[in-house]
Amino acid sequence: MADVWACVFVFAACLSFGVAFSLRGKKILFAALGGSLSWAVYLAVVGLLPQGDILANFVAAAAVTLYSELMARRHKTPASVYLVVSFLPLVPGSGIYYTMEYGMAGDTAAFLATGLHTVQVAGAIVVGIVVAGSFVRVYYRVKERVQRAWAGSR
Amino acid sequence: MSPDRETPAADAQPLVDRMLCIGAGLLEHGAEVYRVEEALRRLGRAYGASEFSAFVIPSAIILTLSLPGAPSVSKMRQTRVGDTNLDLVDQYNQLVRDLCAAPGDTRQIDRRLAAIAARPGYPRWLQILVYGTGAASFALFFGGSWQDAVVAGLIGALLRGMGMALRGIRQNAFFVNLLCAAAGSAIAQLTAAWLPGAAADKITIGMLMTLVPGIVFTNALRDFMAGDALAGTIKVTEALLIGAGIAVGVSVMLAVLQPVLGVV
Repeated sequence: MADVWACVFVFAACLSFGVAFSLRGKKILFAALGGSLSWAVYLAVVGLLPQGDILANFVAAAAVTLYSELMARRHKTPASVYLVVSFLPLVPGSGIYYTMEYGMAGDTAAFLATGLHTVQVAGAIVVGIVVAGSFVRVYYRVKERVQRAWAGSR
Repeated sequence: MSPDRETPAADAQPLVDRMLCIGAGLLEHGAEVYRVEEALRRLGRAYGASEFSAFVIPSAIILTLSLPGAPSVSKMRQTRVGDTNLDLVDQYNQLVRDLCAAPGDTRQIDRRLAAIAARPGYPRWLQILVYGTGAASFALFFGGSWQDAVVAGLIGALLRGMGMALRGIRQNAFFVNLLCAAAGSAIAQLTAAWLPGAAADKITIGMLMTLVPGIVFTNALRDFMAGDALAGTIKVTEALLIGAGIAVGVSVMLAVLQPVLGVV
C-alpha cells in the first residue's frame, strides 16, 4: 500500500514540475505517468532483488528513457520534454541530504558510506539514461538506413 | 530534402537572422545543445545551402550559411539562460519540422515566430504554487508526514519567489542556490523544532528536490550521448556548481542550527 501511495505522490510531484517547466495539455499527464512508471519499475526490481537498489535505479532510468523516447516520437516533440520530468523520482534527494547531515554531525563513517552510495545511485541513473538513449538512437538510425535502402532498391 | 527552388536565393542574411532566432529560442528555453545544432543543420539543408556550419555552445550560436548565387553570411548570437519553458522548446521544434517539410519565406517564418512569442505562459502565482505542491509531494514521497508536506510546500513556494527575485539582480547560479538552500534549510529546522509531527530532514529533502538541477543534468547527459563533449562538459560543470551551492547552503545551516536547537 505504501508503494501505491509513493507512486501517487510521484505522480503529483511530476504534475507540479510539468507545470513548473511550462508543459501543456496532455504532455503534463504523460510526463507525470512517466514519473510513476519509473518509480514502479524501481519498486518492482527492488522487490525481486532486495539488495539491488543500484541495479533498480539503472533499470528504472533505462525504462524511463525508453518511455520518453517512445512518447516523444509519438507526440512529435523532443524526448527531453518528458525525460526531465519523469526521471525526477529517481533523483537521490534523501541520500544527498543525509550525506550532508552526517558530514556536519561529524560522523565520518556514515558520511562516507551514504555519500558513496548516493554517488553510486547517481552513476546508475547516468548509465541507465545514456545506455537506453544511445540504444534508441542507434535503433532509429539503423531503421532509417534500412528503410532508405529498401526504398532505393525498389 | 531537396533544395527549394522557389526561394529566391539573393541574400542569405534574412534567413540567417531567422535561423538564429529559432536556435536561440530553443537553446534559451531548455533544449540540448546538440538538438539546436541539428535543427539548424536541417534547416540549412531544407533551404538548399551550398555551405553550412552551425557551432553552438550553451551561451552562443555561430552560424555560417551560403545560398547558391549569394555571398556567404556568418553571424554570431549570444544567448542568455532563460526560464525553462518546455512548451516553447516544443513549439520551436515544431516550427523547424514544418520548415524542413515545406521551407517558407521569411514572412511566413516571421508570422510563426510572432505566434510563438505571443504564446501565453503560466501566470506567476501558478508557477509559485506548483513549486509548493512539488515540494510537498516530494516530502510525502520521501516518507514525511502531512505536517512536513505543508511546511515543505510553503518553503518550496517561498524559494521559487525568492529565486524569481534573485534572478533580477543577475547573480551566479552557485550563489543563488546557496542562498535559497540556506533559507529553506533554516526555515525547515526552525519549524521542525516547535511544530509537533514535523521532521527537519523530510522537509529539507522535499524542498531540495525543487532546487536540484535536473534539467541541466539530463541535458548534459544527452549532449554527451550525441557526441557533443564540449557542451556536455559545460553543462555538467554548471550542474555541479548548482549542486555545490545547495550543499554548502544546507550544510552551513545544519552546522549552525543543529547545536543551537539541540536536535539529533
